[in-house]
Amino acid sequence: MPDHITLFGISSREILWVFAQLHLNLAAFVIAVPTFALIVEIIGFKTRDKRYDKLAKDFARLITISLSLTSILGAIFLFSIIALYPKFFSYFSQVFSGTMIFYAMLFFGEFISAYLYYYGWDRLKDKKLLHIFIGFFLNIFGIAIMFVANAWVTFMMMPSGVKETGELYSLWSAINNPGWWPLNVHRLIANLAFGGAIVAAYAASNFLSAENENERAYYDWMGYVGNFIAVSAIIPLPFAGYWFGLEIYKYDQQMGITLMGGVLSWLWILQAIIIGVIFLGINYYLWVGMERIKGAERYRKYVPALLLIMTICFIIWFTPHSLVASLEEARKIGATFHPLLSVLGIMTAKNTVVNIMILSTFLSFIIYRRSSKIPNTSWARFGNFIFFSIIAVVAGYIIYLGIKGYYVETTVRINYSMYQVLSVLFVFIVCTPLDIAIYHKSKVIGSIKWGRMPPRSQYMLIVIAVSFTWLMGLMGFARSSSRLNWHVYKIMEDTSPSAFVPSLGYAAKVVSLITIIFFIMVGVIFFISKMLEHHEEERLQLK
Amino acid sequence: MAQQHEKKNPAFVFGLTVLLVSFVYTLIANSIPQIEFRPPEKVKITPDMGQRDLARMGKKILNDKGKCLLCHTIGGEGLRAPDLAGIGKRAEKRKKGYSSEDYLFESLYYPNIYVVEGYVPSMPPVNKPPINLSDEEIVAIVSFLQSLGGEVSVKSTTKPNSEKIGKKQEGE
Repeated sequence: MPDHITLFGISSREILWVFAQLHLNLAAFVIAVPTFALIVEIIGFKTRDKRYDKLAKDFARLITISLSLTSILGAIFLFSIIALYPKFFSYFSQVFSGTMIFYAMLFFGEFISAYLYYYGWDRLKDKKLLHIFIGFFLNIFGIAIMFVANAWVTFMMMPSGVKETGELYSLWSAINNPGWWPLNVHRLIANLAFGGAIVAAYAASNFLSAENENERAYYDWMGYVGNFIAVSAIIPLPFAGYWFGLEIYKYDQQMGITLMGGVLSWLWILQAIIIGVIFLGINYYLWVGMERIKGAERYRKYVPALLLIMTICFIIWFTPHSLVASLEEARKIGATFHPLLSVLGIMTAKNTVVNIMILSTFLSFIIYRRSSKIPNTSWARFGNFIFFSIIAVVAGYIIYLGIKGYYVETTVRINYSMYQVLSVLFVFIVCTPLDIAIYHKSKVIGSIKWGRMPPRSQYMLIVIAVSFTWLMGLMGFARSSSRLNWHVYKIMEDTSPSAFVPSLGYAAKVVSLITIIFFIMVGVIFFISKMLEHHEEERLQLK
Repeated sequence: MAQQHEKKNPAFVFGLTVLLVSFVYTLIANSIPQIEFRPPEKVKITPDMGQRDLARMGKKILNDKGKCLLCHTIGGEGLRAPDLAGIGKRAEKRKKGYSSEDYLFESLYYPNIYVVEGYVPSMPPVNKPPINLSDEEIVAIVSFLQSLGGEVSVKSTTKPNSEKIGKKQEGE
């Protein structure tokens, strides 16, 4: 039986593509929400601020509903594979049968702990530590489920533990393939950023429809918390992605080249645009948010400079190496590559600007954090000097390596990009605690006026969430297409007519469709959650 | 900072933003070059195929199934891998004691035994997955490569000299 079936005029490939990505998006949501709820619950427990506990519970309510929907989609996805790709599923189940049983058991644990976590919220309000413990287990189950699924996905890209004929000799090697840990880390961080972005977008839409000042203040605060968690996660995300890419190159250089310089090369221009929008959006939200903080006016003068840096970096980042030019234009240029733009379009320039963008976002966040505070420590001046010197030296070093990268061989240049990444990580590790220490017991000169946010900031939060979801779809396409026409790279080939890598334009249409369906589903989840909340309130009033 | 807020329908706001953002990204994606990858077609090489046809077939395989031009160029900069322009001539003298045929066969079956100076060993053996060319297809590629500035000596029935190729020499 060939691995190419058409159902209702839609090819097996499109059917599976849509179901797989929808399942993945919802699964990310299901893993992100408990993590988000648990973090917020712990903050509420530590600070004794009841708003955090309410927020965490509001989101715990989403878990049970979204878990059911994710499971239904997962089942549809599974049946679609069995029905549409029987040969592939037969081979795959031979390799991973042991993990499939484990996966089902983990789901059982996830369901039990999810229900205990949500329905035990009020009953365990006096035993908060026990409740947090249940939340911790809920997260462990969720993360373990993701890790198992990641092993399957990365095995398809970088099969290990099997002979050239595909015969399994080590299940552990098949699981612990070169892509497994990078993807685990990447998805763990990305899920948190995704969860934060969705929460912020939900808060934003409620902010815009708020009935009164109190509601606006609550949803403004919720949007801030969601965005804060998203920002914290998104800053290290490119490094995790870089690690994954590096492992792909190490495993099979040809696959790496297919991704970055072959059939999928133009995809990265689009990816750069979307990530640029996300980074600019996050910074914009922070800058606008400073308008509602008394004392922030001291820092507003730095915003235009940060905006300029971000814009320049953004433009360089999405500059393609080879321009789309007509024959006449190419003749005028006198070469295939534009003399200036092609210089900006290569990796050494892109690696440099992305690191500078991350540093700038870090700075935006720092000035936001400092907006209403005046340091009280005696060594604050010296501390600030060290703080900004470190950032200036690191930024200079990143640019220096970026320029030097033009004059060295590829093998050396690859190491430079690693040094750039490590330098930015060094800033986070050293400057974050330094900033906390400088502002320890600082004087607060003004409170944040929650709810006093212009609507444009809220639209930006929604744009960030949609961009993030769209980007997940695009990256799903990239990862899957990197295998070209192989179900399992180098092991199981698919020569059926549908096993081609479609054009980016076509893929974008499918990704948009998936994004729209996903947000309809999220809307349904939030709607049911609201109904449950009203039902709970009515029940409490009756009592 | 007193602000007047016009109350919005959340579903409408959210829905419109989702549609708008998706539309913009789709538009950008459709405005940049569109590249597709199709699974390679089966290539038929018969024993009676003439050298010219064989070289022509080799060129097609090199462009398509062999994915050689992902890294190599023919008359370009050769950033990732050596430029192939004039390889037919260079192959005759590239490796001591090796004919052009031997060198090219070895470069395809065992690409990392001899690596051109200035490049890193990165080419996969073309007879193995993911490229997975048949012996006949490799002969066709050798024929085409020889035609790039050199004399074509292989025929569709030529077999690589297994006594010679794939063995490291001193200094390699």
